[in-house]
Amino acid sequence: MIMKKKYRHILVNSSAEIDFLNRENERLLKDALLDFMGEDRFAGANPRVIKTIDRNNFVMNCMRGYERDIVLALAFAKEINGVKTGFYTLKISGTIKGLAK
Amino acid sequence: MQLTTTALTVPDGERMEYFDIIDYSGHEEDPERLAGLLGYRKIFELGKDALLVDAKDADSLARSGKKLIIRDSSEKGLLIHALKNSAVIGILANSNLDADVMETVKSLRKLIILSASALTSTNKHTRIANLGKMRRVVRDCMHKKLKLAISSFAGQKEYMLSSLQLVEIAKFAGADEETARSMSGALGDFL
Repeated sequence: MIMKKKYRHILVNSSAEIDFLNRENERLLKDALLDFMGEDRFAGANPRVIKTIDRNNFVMNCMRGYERDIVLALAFAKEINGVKTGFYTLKISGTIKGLAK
Repeated sequence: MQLTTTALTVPDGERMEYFDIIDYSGHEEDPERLAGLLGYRKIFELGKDALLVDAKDADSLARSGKKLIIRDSSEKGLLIHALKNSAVIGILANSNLDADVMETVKSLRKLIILSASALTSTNKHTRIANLGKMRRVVRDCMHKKLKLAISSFAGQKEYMLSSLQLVEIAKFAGADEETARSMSGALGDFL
């Protein structure tokens, strides 16, 4: 029996406008998270940008149990592709719909 | 999707309120809107709501009418004297504090304040060194039951933090869950 994967969705606001539809930017963000978390925790978390709301707001998801690590790692990511920015985690929810509440 | 941040709730249903201090002015955003977005009850500004001063200047600046936060110093006598000033709310300390100073802070019911920017606005090696010092301070203060607070002290917009992140950084610095939440809300009682 295949076990259902459980995710946590994180609503993130960035101070600078960054286009996460550009895969390169997403890769650079993941590199910044990997640098802080280490390979073991990063592999367990498996974070991804899953929805771009606008150029300042996006939704990431990660495996359940690792959301706190992602929140902390985002606090230390300050530059993406030469653009200085701050990432503010606004909300964590089990569903994308829950982020909108 | 309307973006707001709900304040974190503690298990018994009481609504926690979080506060932050930033170290820059001239930001174009409405402070109340920014506080609402990041999950704070209020964001204070250094220079406007409080001053960060050296211990030797505390007496002269107390007349300004603003609350004072004094920087840690190796001059124990000056620190203890400054702490007795009613305008002083606490010490900004990111490294080991003297035992007598900690006793004075405890007896006067002042704060030991930690700056998250010591971790977020430095390179990796400096951050690791600062983290080690901060963890020792948190461990000692928790052991002596001193009141702790943490704020971002962001010098630029990029170094600001949401309330969620501030609580996580307090835990990263060695606090348990309950202490981390109270650290993020402690400034509200003093400012």
